[in-house]
Amino acid sequence: MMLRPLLGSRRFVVGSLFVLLVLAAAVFAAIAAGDPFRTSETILAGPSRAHPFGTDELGRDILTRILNGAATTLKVAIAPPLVAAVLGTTVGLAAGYYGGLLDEVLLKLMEFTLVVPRFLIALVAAAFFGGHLWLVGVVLAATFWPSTGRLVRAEAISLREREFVEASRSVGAGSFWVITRHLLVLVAPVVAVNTSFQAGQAALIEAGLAFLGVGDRNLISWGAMLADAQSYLGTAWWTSVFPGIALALMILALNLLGDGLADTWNVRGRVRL
Amino acid sequence: MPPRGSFAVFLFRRLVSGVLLLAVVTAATFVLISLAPGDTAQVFAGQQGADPEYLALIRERLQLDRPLPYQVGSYLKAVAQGDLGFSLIQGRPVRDAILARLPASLLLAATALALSALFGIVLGVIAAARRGGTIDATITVFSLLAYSLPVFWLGQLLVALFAVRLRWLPAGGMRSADDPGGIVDVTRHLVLPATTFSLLLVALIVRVTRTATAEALVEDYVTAARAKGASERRVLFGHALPNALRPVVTVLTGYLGIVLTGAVLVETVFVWPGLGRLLYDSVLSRDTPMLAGLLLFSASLVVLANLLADVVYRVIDPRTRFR
Repeated sequence: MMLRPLLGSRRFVVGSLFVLLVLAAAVFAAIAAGDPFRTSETILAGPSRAHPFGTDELGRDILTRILNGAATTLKVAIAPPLVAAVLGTTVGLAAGYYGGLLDEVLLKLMEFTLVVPRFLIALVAAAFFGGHLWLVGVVLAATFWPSTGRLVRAEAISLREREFVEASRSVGAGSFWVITRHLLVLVAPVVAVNTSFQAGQAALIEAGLAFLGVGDRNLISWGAMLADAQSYLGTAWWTSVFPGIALALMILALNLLGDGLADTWNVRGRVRL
Repeated sequence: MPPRGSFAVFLFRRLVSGVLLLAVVTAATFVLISLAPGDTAQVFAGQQGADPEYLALIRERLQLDRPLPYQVGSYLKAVAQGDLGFSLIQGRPVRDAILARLPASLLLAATALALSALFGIVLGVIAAARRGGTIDATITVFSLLAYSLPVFWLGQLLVALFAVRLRWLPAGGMRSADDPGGIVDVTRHLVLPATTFSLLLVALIVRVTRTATAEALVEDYVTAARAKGASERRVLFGHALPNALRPVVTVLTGYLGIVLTGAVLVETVFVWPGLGRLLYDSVLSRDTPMLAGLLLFSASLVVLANLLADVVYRVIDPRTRFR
């Protein structure tokens, strides 16, 4: 079983525990935490018993806002990389296994989508079409899958010539059987590692867009909180420090998770962070 | 004509496919930008732009009255002749605006790339040499931490500490108002953005160098070198590192290509007058010709950087043979 050894990886355990913690925070925020939009007279107040992380320039409680912002980060960190994993794996396996014209076309497509940095595409799309979270998600999925596809393709090419594939074919297995029963399992580690690194990137890109003011204005985003804090760096450090820590820890956790997977399954060097 | 399979032929083929790729990317970005909701002419006219005649003039000037395929075609044709169009908001040709901002961007990017290559490779090799030990663990954790820090947040923290609190360094810009342009002045302004920018890169290069060097260290030629009595330093830097450089070059040239992207956030935090800041301003002001030009420029950098990577592989790795 591939999963048992993961529990022995400190990085994997720490990373996934933190992600679960953030998940719990998001659930807690949805049902029990206070109103993140409620303003008050106590503006830019430092950390206190009433406001553990202080308040912002409109007197809103920063801790409440961080808890409520967790959902935004989680959505964007989970959905697009997963879609990209499914799409990239399917395309990569087909291209690597069958080769030929299909491979050529897919390679060109992958090359094409890797030329313009995804942050730029996301920035332009968000600014011109409105930075709805789903739109950012679509851009991320559309730009993540080619890199997944390229990785899987390379794995599939090296796997398709191996003896066990020969053996399987010699007893009558068709291409579909070989791909789904043999190759899929063997490319899974690479895909999993790549997907968790992409999750970290997705969180970072969403925060970056919100920081630049082109994010989803109807949602609470840690990046947008950092943008608001920009004006109070000298006077109210807590407006920047706490949302920043939340964001950095979230990305660190996702990268730790990916690192743990890579070390345990020994695919480091094949997937680049 | 050089012989088939020579490096020149390989480069030529890569160049041609690169140019074709750029043409497709340019057309695609142009279409994407054109499809955005909102009236571009209205945006260009600004607040007072209700005058229909003025709007018509802008439409004609930007060829907005023509069908989209025609616009794409004529844009590609102009680009091929070195004409990137005219930015009404900047009040000058797009090419001039890009060239004016290029030095600042290059200064920041070159400093960051040089710093991170130096520190990244050295730290990565040390970590690989001591793998499993305390030094390795420290370097690895540091690099993972640095990689996870959002650049804009790190920038904020550095500004809050070194500019606002301690007043050691300027918070933003590239030159002071009172003593503009001296080397010392520009360097003082460069410290924070370059540090912020390179920290992320160092992290990446450390990780890649460590992995690749660790893999090289178990090869037979390393054992052979040790058997011949080579010093550990010689084994590391003379034998293992050269064989581990390929992925490092990939990362470095990869970043050369996206110097613009990372720079959008860094330049915004530090008000650095480079291309990233220009791109951000163009996005906000909907300066479509400027934006199309910048995206094309960015894509060209990626293509050129990939080409450069192939050349460097050839230099650092004599085993590399091309079709």
